[in-house]
Amino acid sequence: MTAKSLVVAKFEFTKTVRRKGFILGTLGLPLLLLLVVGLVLYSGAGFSTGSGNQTVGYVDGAGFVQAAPGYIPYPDQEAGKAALLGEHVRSLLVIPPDYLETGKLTIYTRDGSLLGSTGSRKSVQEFVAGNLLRYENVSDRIAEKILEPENPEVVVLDAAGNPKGDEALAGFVLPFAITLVLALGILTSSGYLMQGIGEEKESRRGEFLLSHCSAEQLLAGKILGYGAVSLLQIGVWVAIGLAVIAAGPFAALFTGMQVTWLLCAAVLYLILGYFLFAVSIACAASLATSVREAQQVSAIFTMFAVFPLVFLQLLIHDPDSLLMQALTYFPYTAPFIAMLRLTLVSVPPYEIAVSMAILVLTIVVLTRLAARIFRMGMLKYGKRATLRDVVGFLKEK
Amino acid sequence: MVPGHTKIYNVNYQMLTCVSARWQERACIPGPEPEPHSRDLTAAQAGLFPGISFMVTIDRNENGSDTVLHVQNLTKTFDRKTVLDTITFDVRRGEVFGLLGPNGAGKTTLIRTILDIFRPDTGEIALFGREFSDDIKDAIGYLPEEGSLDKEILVSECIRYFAELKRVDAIEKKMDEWLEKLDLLEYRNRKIQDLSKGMHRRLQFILSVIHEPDILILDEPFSGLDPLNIRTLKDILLDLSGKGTTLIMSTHQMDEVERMCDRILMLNSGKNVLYGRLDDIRKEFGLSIEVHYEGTLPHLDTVTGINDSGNYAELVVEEDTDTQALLKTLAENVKIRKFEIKQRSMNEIFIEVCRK
Repeated sequence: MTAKSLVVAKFEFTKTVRRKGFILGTLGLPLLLLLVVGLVLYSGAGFSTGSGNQTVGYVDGAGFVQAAPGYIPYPDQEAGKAALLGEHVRSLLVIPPDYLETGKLTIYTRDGSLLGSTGSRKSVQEFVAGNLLRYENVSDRIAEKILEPENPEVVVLDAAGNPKGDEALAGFVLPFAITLVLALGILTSSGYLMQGIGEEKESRRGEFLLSHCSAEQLLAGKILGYGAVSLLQIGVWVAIGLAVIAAGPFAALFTGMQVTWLLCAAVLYLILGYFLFAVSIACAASLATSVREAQQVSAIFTMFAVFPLVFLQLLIHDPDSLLMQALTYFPYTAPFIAMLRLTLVSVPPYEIAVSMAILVLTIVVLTRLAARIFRMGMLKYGKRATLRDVVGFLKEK
Repeated sequence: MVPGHTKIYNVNYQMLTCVSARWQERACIPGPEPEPHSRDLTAAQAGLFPGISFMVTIDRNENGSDTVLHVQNLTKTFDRKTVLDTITFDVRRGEVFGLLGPNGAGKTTLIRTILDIFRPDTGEIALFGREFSDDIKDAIGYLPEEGSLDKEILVSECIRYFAELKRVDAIEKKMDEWLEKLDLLEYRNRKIQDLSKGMHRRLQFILSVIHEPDILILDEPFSGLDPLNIRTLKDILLDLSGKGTTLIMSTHQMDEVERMCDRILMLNSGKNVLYGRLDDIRKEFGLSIEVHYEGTLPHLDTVTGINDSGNYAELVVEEDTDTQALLKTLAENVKIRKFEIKQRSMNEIFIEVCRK
C-alpha cells in the first residue's frame, strides 16, 4: 500500500459517500424496511381485529365436530355454498365422511384470503384438531398442551457440562449475521466498484490516471476506497439494526457477549472474502466496454455471494457432507459456507486453516494477475476483451 | 525534482530571459563559466547566500548528459502484430520534440510505453539516465488526446486529486495561479459538467502541468480548442519551454510542428521513418516551387516530383537545383503568372513519407 493508493482511496470514498444514491441507499433502505415491517404489522393487526364477516361455515360429513363460536354448521355442501355465496359466512369448511381415513379437508372461499393467510388456515386446522381431541375424550388440559405447546428452553452446555447461558445464542446468531453482512458487503461494494471502473472506462479516463499512478496503486486504492464505502454503509445499517434490537426484547441476548474464536474467524473471512471479490470484480469491470456490461460481467461473482442460499437446506441437513467440505475449500464460496458450517457443527480446525490458506493464496496470485488485466483492460476502449486478449494481458510484463 | 544533481551557481552576469537548459544555445547572454556551489537549492532560496545575484539550477542526469529520454531498439507487439519496431531516438533537455505519424502509426503506444503504462517486449527506455520509477513518473506530465474527467466533482476537487497523486506542495496556491492563467478561476468551485469542451481541455492541461513536470508529453494538445485558446496554450507552452520544460508533442497539425518543434520523430506502421532536426529534414526533402501558369507543362528533368492541377503546379526539386534554369525552361514553354521557391512544408513531407 502506497501513499498514492491512499489518495485514490480517499478520493473514491469521499466522492461516493456524497452521492445522492449512496445517502438514499444507506439511510433510506433501513427506513423503508422499518416502514414495510410496520405496515405488515399494522395490516396484520387490522386483519385479526378487522370488521366484516369472519365466521366460517362447515359441513361435518364425519360427524365429530361440536358447535363452537364463529363456526356455523350446514347440513350439506349445497346449503353451505349458498350461505357462502349469500355472504353469510366468509368460508366453508367441508369435512368428508372418510376424513378419519384420508385426512383430507376442503375449504371454499370467495376472496382467496384463506389461500394466502397461514394464520387463518391454521385456525381452521386447530378447530378441526380440537374437535378430534374432544371426539377421542382427551381432557381439555391435555388438549391445550397439544394444541398450544410451550416453546422449549434451549440450554447449550460447555465442555464441562455447565450451561453457557444467553451468550451461546449470541455466538450462534452473530456469525450468521456476519455471513449476511459479508454477502451484503460484497453486493454493495461490487456495485460501487464496477460502476466506478465502468464510468472510468466509458469516459476513457484510465490512461490519464495511469500517467499519475501505477495500475497496482490505482487498483489498491479503488478496492480500499470502495471497501470503506461499503463498510460505512453496512456500519450504518448494523447501527440502526442494533438500535432497533436494543429497544426491543432481544437486548438481553447480546449483553455480556464475549468475542469467541468463532467471531474472529468470521471477521477474518469477511476481510479475505471482500478482497477476493473486489479484485475479481475490478478485473471483470475493467474488461467491459460500458457500465451496463460491467454489471453483467460482475454478476458472475456476485452470484457466489448468494450461492450458499441455494444449498441452505442441504447445508443445514448435512453440514459435513463432501459437497460442503469441497465448497469450504473453494475460495469463492469458502467465506460463506465455512462460516455457516462453523455455526452449525464443530468443523475440524485443519479444514478452516486449509480453507483460509487457499483463500490467501488465491488473493495473492489474483492480485498480481489482476493488476495486469486491469492495466490493459482499462486501455481497451470500445472493444470487448476476448479470452485471447485476457491471455495476452496476462503475458504482459 | 528531477533525479540527478542539483547545483547552484553564483552568476554575476546579466540574464535577460528565463534561465533554462537551453540558455547556452539561445536564451541568455553567456558569461564566464559559473562556479559550482556546494549548498543545496532550498537553502539558497531561503536567502542564506546573499552574495548570489542570480541563481541557475541545472539538473543533470547521473551520467551528466543533456538527454532526458533515451529510447533504444524499442519493440512492442500486440497479438503478433508489431506496433513498434526497433524504435531508437533521444529527446534532449528543454527541446520541443515532435512525434508525428498517421493514425495507427504507433504514436500512442510509444507514449504509453514511455509512461510505463505498457512494457516493451525488447529494447530499453531511460528517463533522466535511469529506468522508470515512481519518482520519474512524478517528473512527467501527460495530456492525452481524449478522455473526459469525472463530471460530478468540482474543478478544485479534481485538481487537488491529481495534484496529490503527483505529490504537489502548496496545491491551493498553484491551483489558483493556473486557473487564473487559463481563465478558469471563476469555475474553481463549479462542477466539471458545467465546463464547455474548451474549458474541459484547459482543465486537463492544468492537471498535466500543476506538478511542474520536467517532461511534458502532449497528445494533440490543440484539439478541441478555438483559435484564441490555441494562442493562449501555445504561449504557455513556449513559456514552459523557455523555463526548461522538455515538450514532446504528438500532433497532426504540421504548421504547429513547423512553428514550435526543434526536432521530430516520424513513425509509420510502427517504424521510424524520419528522425532529426526539422531544418535538416526539410533540406533533405529539397525545395518546392509553386507555379501558376497557362499552357502545357513541358517535361522537366530536374524535377523529382510534381503535383499538376492544370494551371497550378507544385514542383519538387533538389536543394542544389538551378532554379533559374528551371524558370527559363518553363518560360519558354508556358506563360508564367507566378513562380515561388520555398522550402517544402512539413505537411508535404508528411504526406510524401506516409505514402511511401
